[in-house]
Amino acid sequence: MPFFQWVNDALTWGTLFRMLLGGIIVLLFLLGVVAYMLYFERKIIGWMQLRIGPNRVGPLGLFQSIADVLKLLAKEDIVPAQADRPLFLIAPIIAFVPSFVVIAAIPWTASHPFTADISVALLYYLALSSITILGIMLGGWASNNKYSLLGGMRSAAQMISYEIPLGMSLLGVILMAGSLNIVDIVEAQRRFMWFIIPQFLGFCVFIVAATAELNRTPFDLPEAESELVAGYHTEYSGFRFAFYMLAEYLYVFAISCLGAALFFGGWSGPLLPGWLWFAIKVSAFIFFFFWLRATMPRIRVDQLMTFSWKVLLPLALVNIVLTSVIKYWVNAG
Amino acid sequence: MSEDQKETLPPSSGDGGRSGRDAASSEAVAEGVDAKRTASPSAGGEPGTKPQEAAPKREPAAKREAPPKKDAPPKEPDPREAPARALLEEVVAEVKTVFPDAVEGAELQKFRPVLLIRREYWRDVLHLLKTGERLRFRYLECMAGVDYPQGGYIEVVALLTRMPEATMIEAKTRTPRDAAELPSAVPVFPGANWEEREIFDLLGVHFEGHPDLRRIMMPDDWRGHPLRKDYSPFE
Amino acid sequence: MAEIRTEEMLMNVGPQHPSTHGVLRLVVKLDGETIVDVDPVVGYLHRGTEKLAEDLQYTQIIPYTDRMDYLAAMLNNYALVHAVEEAMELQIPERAEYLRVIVMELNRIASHLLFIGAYLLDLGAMSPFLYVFQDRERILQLFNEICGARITYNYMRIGGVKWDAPPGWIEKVQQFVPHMRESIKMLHDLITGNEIFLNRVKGIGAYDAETAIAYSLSGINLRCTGYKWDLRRNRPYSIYDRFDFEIPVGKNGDCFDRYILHLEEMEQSLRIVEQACGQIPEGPVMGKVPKILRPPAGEYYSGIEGARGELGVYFVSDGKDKPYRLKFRRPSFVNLQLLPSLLKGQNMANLIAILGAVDIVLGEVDC
Repeated sequence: MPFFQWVNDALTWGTLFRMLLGGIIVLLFLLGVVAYMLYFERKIIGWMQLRIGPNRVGPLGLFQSIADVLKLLAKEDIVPAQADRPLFLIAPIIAFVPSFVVIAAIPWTASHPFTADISVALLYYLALSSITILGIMLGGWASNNKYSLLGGMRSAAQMISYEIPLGMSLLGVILMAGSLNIVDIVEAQRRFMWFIIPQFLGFCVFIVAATAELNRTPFDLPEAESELVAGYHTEYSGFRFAFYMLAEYLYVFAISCLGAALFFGGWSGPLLPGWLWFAIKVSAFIFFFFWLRATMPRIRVDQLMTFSWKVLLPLALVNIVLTSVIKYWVNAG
Repeated sequence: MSEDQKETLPPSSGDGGRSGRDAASSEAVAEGVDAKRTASPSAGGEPGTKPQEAAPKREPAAKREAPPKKDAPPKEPDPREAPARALLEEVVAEVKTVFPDAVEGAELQKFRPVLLIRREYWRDVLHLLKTGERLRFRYLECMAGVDYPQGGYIEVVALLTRMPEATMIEAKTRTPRDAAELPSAVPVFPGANWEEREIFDLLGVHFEGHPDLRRIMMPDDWRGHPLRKDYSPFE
Repeated sequence: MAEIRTEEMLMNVGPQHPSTHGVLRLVVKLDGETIVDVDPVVGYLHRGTEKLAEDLQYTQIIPYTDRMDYLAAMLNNYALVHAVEEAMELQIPERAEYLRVIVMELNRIASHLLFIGAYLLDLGAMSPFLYVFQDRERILQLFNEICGARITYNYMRIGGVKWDAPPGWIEKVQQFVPHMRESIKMLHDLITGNEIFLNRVKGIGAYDAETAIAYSLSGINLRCTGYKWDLRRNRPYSIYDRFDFEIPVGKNGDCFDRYILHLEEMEQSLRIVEQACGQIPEGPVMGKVPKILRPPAGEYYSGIEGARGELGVYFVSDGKDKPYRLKFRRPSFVNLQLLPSLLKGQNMANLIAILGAVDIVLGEVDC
């Protein structure tokens, strides 16, 4: 689709228009993805818990998420009187924007019309995704609520701790592919094999760290509702709350994309078209996160930190060393 | 409302105060028996007690003002009576060896030894009952306060249990209503903490030496003590 | 480097908080996430049952007991009627005693099931909550058939029970028993082996038998320390001496022991239900009792083994048809006293784990 391939074009009004149009299409698409992720999460967990799940709005409850989003948008925008107003207002946006921006680095198909083919894609992903922490922390702080503060601090501590093993676990893949560009990594897997096999240890670290990074069960401490009511977004309502939710689910999608691209060969696969393969792999990842949520209790906050620093990080380091040594041997031999 | 409640007769008036506290026998029960119950299968006299004269049973409620006649034939003592009395005597003797004038009274209530303790000795006697070599009533099962406006005192009751055998005794003490004060039992039984707070809240007994004597059920600014018999919620 | 100034933070956990199981309020003093001090504030649900009871005839008090521990109302019913029956030395028909035992043990199972569901929900696992509700629903259906109510039964009467079991009810209970055994096995598979769960409850909130006795704890909160104390065995009432069952005890007195004892007690309750269903005779369900109940003047106390511990009724009668003073010894209320000393030095996550394991019902705490 040459119309949307602006990456190598000169920046003219026409290119800018095409960029904007592409961005809007992706945004709408992602909103749809998030809406139906929510729907499937509720359905799947409902079935796992012997319930029905949403089934009122539309056939099979298919419009439930849309109704929820509309409800949130129509709600009053409440700012607590004692809150730090500017920060309170801007925090959800700070949290949301990076979650949307990181999607740009993910190649969905071989021709990836909307994807910025960046040579430092992984670095870009990690760097931008950590900006969200700022939004969460600021939101927790600005709410002037003790639960929010505790939740915000917890998530800051947790996300920073887990970002390190997450990055380290990716290093093995980077070493094997010899590139930070996700497109190149997928291509390398097509030539060699899915990196899940040689990088199994790395994958384990990745999936645990990713779950923690997403604040999902069993690592959902920042929003531990039995302890902290709703964590950092206790005081948020209406569309600002929707921003946080949107950010959270976009990250689930983004991490699933990342996992599918780095360890399961991205869009590559026999018979079916590339985008379908990618969708299947991403769905499997998302399903895994939902499944975890239906199964696991929550881990304790001090155990969480110990686990990150004493287990995950050494494992990730071992993985890097092993990968480099083996790669050196193979290259030398 | 259930059928039973509809059938019950209006409560009898009179009979003020607490008539006769020897509850070991239960002959007073049968006086409420009415043989003509309609729907419920529970008609007729009640076999656990001695069926007395059948005549007064059909009397209307208004005529039953007087307390029941105490002319039941003396029945053979219950087998549970003798060991209970022995325990009572043993406990009283033990307490008296340490605090000769602490025990104001002793009786059996339904085969449970009851000691009435002078209130100055309340905590000490509880301590003795808990730690005494041959006593070892170390489990505080229940604490309650009862208001007796006629007698002008509030009674505080502690039910103590000897642990593996599950034998229970009752220690109680009295404090005047208008200046209700007692030594707290919390230093002896930490579990008495909230029970005493409840008694303080609802009956207005001040427990001296209680670590944290605040209202527990009612709001902090509540006036009055609801479980007192003369309490009225209206000013 | 200048020293960083830190401050303790006062936080109100409750009365509207997802995991305090009602309207308990804990004023928590926090240093970071470490708890320095806790002050439980109760009384938000105080309805003055004891005061109300002074103006009610004994039978009229029974519905009020339903509202105390609303998860195990059958046991509350029994505690009251048992105390009055003992005071009046009434004879209860055999069939009524068996029906009482069956519904009480079923109610104990229902209550324990809800404990497990709610506890796991507190710890962040959602699914067990919904699984246990399926089984609890079956018990509530059984109760609905026998007394027409699902939560507030008002089933027992002084001298017997209000309704006989409808035809086929006993068979339904008998069918329920093996089903429930399967469910318990499923719960073991799902929860007991979960590493995250074990890490959160093992060794947390531990105390020894001496502390438990000093604080008058009862029920599972006492038995988890390894002290074998169950009123069904130690001071047998009703017809419990006819059944063959064990009293499971813990070892360490921690939250895990409290959790596992709930599951084990459910198994024992099933054994009792099974035996009772096999032995139940035909006959009347209401004994011969006076129309107006007038316990002879005196003081009475009787305790039964409730779902949460010793449920006692102390009442003073002056020979009239209404109690002069009625006092409920509520196990949740007494058990909750130990909480502040357990929580000191713990963090917020443990607060939930410890509080949940105490297994309180606020209707009972506040009475």
